[in-house]
Amino acid sequence: MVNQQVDGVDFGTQRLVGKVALITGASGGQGFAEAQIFAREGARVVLTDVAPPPESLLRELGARGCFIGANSPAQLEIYAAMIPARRIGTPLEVAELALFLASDASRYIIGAEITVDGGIG
Amino acid sequence: MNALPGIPSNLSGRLSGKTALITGGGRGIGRATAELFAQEGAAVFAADLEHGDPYTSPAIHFLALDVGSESHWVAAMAEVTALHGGVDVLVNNAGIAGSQKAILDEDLDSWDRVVSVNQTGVFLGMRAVLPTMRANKRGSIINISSIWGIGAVPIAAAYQASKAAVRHITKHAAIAYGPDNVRVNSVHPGIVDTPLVQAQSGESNAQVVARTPLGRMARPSEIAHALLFLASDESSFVTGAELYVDGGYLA
Repeated sequence: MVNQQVDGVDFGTQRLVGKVALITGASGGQGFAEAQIFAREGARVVLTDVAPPPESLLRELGARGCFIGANSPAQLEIYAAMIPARRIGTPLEVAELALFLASDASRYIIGAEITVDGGIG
Repeated sequence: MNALPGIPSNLSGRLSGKTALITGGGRGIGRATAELFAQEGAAVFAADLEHGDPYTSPAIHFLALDVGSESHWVAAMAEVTALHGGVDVLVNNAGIAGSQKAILDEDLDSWDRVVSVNQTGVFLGMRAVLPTMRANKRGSIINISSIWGIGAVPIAAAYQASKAAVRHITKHAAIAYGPDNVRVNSVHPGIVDTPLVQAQSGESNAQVVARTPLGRMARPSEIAHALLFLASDESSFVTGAELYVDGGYLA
């Protein structure tokens, strides 16, 4: 595998062609560097963060990059798609587990770690 | 997404301009690594006891070398220096399984042979290349340990002890020569489809595969790609690390 260059621009070795990468914390620093290098290698990158990256950085990625804000409806949809239950959990569903653990119904459950995660763990 | 139109291929590889020496380069992981490194633009010296099949790449030069012999290393480095000046990347890959016996069943000759190749070979290899790497203020040394350098099984005491020693001397060297910008890392393959593994009992190999989450042996090229990363400047801040390439065995 070799780096591909046109007019002095390094297009990397195109190791991620055909892949889509979702990167969290991507609006600056290390996260943005990851987006840059993934895009250079041919991936399409979805950047997520609490705030968008500077316009100039996002422009650098061109058509290969897009930004989705944290907890935006679009991002919640992405999360939901990753969960076997296909939806985000509710606070009540966590409280119901707490009630069970607090009650005598769970008297022989000690030191256990119980997930309430729709199956993603 | 397809490669961008109009981009010419082959301008530079990930190891272009580097010279690499790979011990145990005749077969298995070493051979796959020699071919991959050459494909990425390195000048490659593949060292082994005997020449195996011819290499695909003309950039690979075979060296006869018993890694446990200091005089062999002196002769090998003289040849490398005459042809290419020095080594930028050393892969201490040569290894033998030995008798695969537990302590009480092992004999001393067999123990010594395993230690000579797997452990002393790594020590002598690093001694051979470090002076030039320190002088050049750059270098990457990759020592091949094993999942058995981390966890133990009730057989192959010598192999496991030698591979654990490789893991730790790697960290020693990373700390000692980091200030010279020489990086030293260990790689820990799980079960890989190589002559070394094929020579072991099919039954014990099947047990290891059964305990490997990916449920299969690795291909030698899958280890070679991990070595490529550590050999290249892409890993310029990675030193003293241990990289498991084990299909999840140790997870």
